[in-house]
Amino acid sequence: MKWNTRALAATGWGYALAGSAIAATTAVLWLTQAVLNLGSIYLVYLVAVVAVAAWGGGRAGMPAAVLAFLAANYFFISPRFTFTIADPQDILALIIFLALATGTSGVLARLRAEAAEAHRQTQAVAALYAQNQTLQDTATQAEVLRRTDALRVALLSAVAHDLRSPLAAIQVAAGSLLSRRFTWSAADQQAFLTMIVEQVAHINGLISNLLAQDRIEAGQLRPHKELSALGDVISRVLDRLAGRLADHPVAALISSDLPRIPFDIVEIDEVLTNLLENAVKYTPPGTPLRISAVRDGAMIRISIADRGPGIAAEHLPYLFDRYYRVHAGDNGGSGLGLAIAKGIIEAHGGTITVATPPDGGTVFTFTLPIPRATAEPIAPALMEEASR
Amino acid sequence: MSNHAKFILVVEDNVVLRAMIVRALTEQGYLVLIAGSFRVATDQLAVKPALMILDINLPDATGWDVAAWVERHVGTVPVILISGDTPAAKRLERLHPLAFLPKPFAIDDLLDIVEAQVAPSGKFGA
Repeated sequence: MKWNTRALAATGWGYALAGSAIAATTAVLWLTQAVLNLGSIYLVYLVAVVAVAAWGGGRAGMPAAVLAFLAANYFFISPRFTFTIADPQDILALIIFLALATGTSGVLARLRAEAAEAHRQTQAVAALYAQNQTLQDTATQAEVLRRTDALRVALLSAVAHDLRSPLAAIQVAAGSLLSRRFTWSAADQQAFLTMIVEQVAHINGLISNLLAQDRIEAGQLRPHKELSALGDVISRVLDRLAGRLADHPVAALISSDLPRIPFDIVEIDEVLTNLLENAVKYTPPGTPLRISAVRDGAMIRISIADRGPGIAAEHLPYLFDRYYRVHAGDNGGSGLGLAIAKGIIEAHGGTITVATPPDGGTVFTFTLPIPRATAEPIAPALMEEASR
Repeated sequence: MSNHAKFILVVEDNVVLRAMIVRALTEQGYLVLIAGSFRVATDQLAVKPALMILDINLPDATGWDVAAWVERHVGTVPVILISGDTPAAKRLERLHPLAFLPKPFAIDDLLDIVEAQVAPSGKFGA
């Protein structure tokens, strides 16, 4: 058998406990022996052995049983101070005591070991559970970080791409004006410079839109509203997107009785651009688009309808959520366009909805409120009169 | 030089940028055809162009798709790639364009490459 130092130390401690406990018991019994018979002495020793076994386990209980057996024999069974026993009755009693003491001590030691093992297992399970929980928390955090990172990268690359085309147009226009290869007419120069100014405004709009995202998140989108004609904005967007819309016949139905209403031209331009670009991106070439703006009570209702494959019902509730993308595989979108559109429209006091009519296609509809004051057009002269 | 006029096909979906490139090329005497998508580009390719100026990101496909289609149906056409994104090195290697010009680029750089490849029709005549 191999003994290591720890086992040896434990055994030593067991003997020491057994020795001191039985010595103390013997001393107490010696002092009180006048009032005790032999049976009581055995019982007291038995209690001592059981106590030692309960406290110190088998390593202490067994030696305590043997020591108690020897001490009882030596100190209390005649002839005293010898290990010889005169009365056969005493021999039997002592053997029964030894059996009882070792047996009890053994059972107690086993129970104690089992209890310790059960406790250890409980602890181990608790530790494993805690560890697992920590791992799960860490994994969730890592996943969130990974996804946030992936989204940030996708967003940045989408933004970079969106910015570089108008920048390239500016650079080509400015470079053409500067190049020694060309001698442009005054009209050409004017056209190039106008284009540069327009593209700068377009880039600025893109950047504002990007910043709007953060403001939407913080719920503090504040449109810079100016009294404007919605039809003009729609026409401008359609002109700007003419190239992208080339493969789709576009019908624009702008009601002639629309009042001028206060809205942020850049933001509504962005919403319209986003909805039209989506329509182009997700419908087959050749399918028609229809954009309409009509008065509906105290609001103007703008709809963009396509005749594409529509959107599966399961996507509809999440369509305006940030980063939600129906076409997960395509690298075109950041999943922010519709969320930004919703933020912008709601900041204007309107609503935006999507529907998939039974006869096919997808219809995005948003509303912009007509304030009471602007519901009826008022002549500027009259307004001046009123303010005096 | 062959007898028929040589032309350059510009495939770019940004209308303003495309118009600026076309203006510079025509001013230099080149014949130019334009396309804003894969579909329109393939429609324009009944006659083999002398050169393609090709954007990678198109609404209905990629510039790589256009290049592959041309290689298969028209033959080898020199390509100048333009893009706002940095293309993968492997794809660049496979296509082997005359040049890759990251947006924004200088028009003089583009014209230098074009001139080294194709003589303007207006100057040489047909």
